[in-house]
Amino acid sequence: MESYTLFEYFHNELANWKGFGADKDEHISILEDIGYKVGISLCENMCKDRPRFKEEVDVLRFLCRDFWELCFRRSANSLKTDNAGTYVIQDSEFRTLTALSSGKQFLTDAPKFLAYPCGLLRGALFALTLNAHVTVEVTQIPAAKFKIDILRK
Amino acid sequence: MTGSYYFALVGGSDRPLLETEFNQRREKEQRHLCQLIAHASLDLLEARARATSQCFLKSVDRFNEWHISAYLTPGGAKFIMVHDQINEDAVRNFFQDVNDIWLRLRLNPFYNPDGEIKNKSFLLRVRAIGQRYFGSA
Repeated sequence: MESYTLFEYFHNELANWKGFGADKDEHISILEDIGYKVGISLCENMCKDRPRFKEEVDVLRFLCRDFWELCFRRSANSLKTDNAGTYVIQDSEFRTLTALSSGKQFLTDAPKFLAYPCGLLRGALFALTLNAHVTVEVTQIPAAKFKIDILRK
Repeated sequence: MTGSYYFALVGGSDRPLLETEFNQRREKEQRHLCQLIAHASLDLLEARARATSQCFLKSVDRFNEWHISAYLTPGGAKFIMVHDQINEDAVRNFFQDVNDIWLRLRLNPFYNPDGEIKNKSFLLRVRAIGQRYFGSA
């Protein structure tokens, strides 16, 4: 049984908190907003002493390695792109999903545990001057597939 | 002879968030002119930024007697300095100090990214840094 950090315990409770009310969408969007603000601050702080990124792909690689290490304590498994602004990041053992048991039972609850990480990614990209849509797909806990669409100005 | 310096902080969406001057000698018209010059140099600033991964972009443009130096943060905010005397070291140090307090402002949960800067402490600090590097205001 791997050890969780204080924040991870907190996040597990927060994601499942009944205090958000019955509206599932609002629940998810509040968590995502919080993740967004945290992602911006976190990323700004991480990148303050690094040279600026030149290519979009460099930003995404940084996200998959350094940012993923900091937030989710591992590197993402793979990064794919269609070279037209869409990227797919796959993680076979996503941190916030490891507390849920694998199998189909908790699949419908999984989005609640992924809202905050989606926000984190969106915020991190914003802090590196990229506007993006971040969505996530889960077919088998704990594997998660994040789809990032970079919006052109 | 101390030069006059006009500093503009432009956010990621090219929206001006802060402007202030140090040692402004001449009339009020000068501020409008400096603002125009600073924003007109944004294109050149971005072109220069694509060519390098440095933050401090040194001198990006010239307009008559005015030099325009710039600094681009990793987060996309642009610091522009319009000045009539070449003083690269002071300008670079000024930009780096402002970058430190800008980062602190960005981490402040009460500050909306790319929003208007209402934080008085930040504004006072920018003035203090300018006074330190560019002489008395």
